[in-house]
Amino acid sequence: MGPGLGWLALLMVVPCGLIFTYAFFERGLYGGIDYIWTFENFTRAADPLYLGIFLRSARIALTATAIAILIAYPAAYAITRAPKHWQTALLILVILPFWSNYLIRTYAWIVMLNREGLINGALEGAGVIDEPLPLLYNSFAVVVGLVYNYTPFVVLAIYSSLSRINRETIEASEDLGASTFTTFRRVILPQTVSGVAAGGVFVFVLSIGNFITPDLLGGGRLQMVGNLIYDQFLSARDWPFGAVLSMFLIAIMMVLLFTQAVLAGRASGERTNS
Amino acid sequence: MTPVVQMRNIVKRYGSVTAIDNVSLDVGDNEFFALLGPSGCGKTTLLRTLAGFEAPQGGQVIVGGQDVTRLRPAKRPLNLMFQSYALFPHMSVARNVAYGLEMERLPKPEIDSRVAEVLEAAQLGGFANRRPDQLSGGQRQRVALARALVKRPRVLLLDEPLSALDKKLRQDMQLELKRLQAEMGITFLIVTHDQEEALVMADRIAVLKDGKLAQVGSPGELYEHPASRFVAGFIGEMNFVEGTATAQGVEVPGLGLLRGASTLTGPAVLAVRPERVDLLTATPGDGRNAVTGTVEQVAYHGADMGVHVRLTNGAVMRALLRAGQDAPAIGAPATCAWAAEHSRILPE
Repeated sequence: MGPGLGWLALLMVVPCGLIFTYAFFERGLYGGIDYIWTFENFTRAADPLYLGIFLRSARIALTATAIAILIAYPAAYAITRAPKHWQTALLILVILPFWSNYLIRTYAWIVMLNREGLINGALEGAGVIDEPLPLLYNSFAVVVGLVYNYTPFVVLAIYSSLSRINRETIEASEDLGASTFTTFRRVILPQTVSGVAAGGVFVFVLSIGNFITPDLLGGGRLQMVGNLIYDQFLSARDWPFGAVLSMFLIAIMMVLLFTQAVLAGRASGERTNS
Repeated sequence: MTPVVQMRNIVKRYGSVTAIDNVSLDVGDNEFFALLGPSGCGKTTLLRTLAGFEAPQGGQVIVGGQDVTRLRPAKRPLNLMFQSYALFPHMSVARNVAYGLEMERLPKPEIDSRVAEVLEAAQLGGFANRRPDQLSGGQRQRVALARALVKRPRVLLLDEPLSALDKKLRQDMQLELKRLQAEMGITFLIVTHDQEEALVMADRIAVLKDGKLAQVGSPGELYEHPASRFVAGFIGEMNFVEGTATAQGVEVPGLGLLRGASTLTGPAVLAVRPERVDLLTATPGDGRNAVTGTVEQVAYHGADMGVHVRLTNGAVMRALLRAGQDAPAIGAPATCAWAAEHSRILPE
């Protein structure tokens, strides 16, 4: 625990402390900060403009989270039902995309979603549509990019909680007269809530702070919090304001992670010795 | 005895392995029936076939006159108590027990009263709102039993129900299960690898070996008249002496003719229970079978004492002396004697 704590302090607490202090000073002319005490950065952040961006980011992240869970659950379920020797191979397939770079994977979606891209091309070729669909450079494209990149994590999280279920509880449910669907709803799903929560929080936290996907697939028109913070530090050179926005984002993530940890702790407490 | 469960020529294969090899078995109404065998003998597979979790490649399962071979587990008039108990970890004890009744869509008041009644009978009245992980092993076992019994099945299947309990609790529960079965008038079909458990509880026992029925009978029949060397050795303790069967008994090289009722010829084995063997210092003159050797080991059990005698032909014979008798000295010569009527002559 000793060295681990040291690394944690060096890599987590110190940077966060720096960001935290930046938030209370005035911006420097060419970036950095001037050591003049102020609360102005906080009042500026209360502007409805920025609140709107926060809300939009949350909405996009929430949509991506919901879709990722809906895709990941059946996938994870199918993997647990597969023969044992297939499961490892299937799990490797799930994480296979991570062998390529995040940027490349996101660029690939530009090729797919373009006006002249693979999807529009195929639909036009099949005569389904006359005009190309506006698939790229909107929130739809951003959600697609986020879902694509983060679903594998959710599959892994849900798979791990599904595979920990005592199979005999599923059989017991059937034996006691439950249909397959009732068994899923009342016995399987409740035992995987912690896995769903872990995966969901993961997608949400990574999505709401993401700036590459909205930049590339949102076409720069769709700003999320991540882009906003990125701009404050690198374009607008307003480090203190960027620091305030970062703190809000970190606060949201901390609340979510904490809630999830409490839920997971409670769930695992219930599971032991059963 | 009207059979409530009829298994007809059940065959279950996994790839090239035959787990159940053409087993036919009837279980009577109100019977306490045990499927007994070493691990891997197919007894659990047979139980799961009855419950509907394994589909046999051949044969029929008939319960209460109805062919259920193709029915889902949910549709069969029997319930299974799982070896792991399989309690729902996210539900309270009462919710666990109510689950099966909710599946029958019974009215809420009836569910509540039946759950309360069965929890009371299982001495779980104060634990209705506990979660399974807040219970002891014995309490969890009773919840699992209550959850299956509350459905009032024609037949209750129990898969190694006592294997997770410690010895003292297991012995109490053996009697408790037997009492419960008699009171409720439900057929109990239990799977166990513990021959003592089967002898104590069951009205009838089916011994399985390698997916085949070795013998079916009452505990007394199996103990006193085993049909094979396997059954003789699996149930209780047994001495075996190998030789050649004749009309009078078994001719053993180095020991002579050991008498016993025999219908066999050729290679055979004579079996005699240790408690039938008396330990003497000289050959008896009463015509009993007698073999000589030296005392090799004495094991004190409290109620009795096991004496290992190395016979002159190199085999070991175990005699059981009741408490109070003097222990023979190790290395002393000894004669093992038993009446011919206690010899069981079985095919090799």
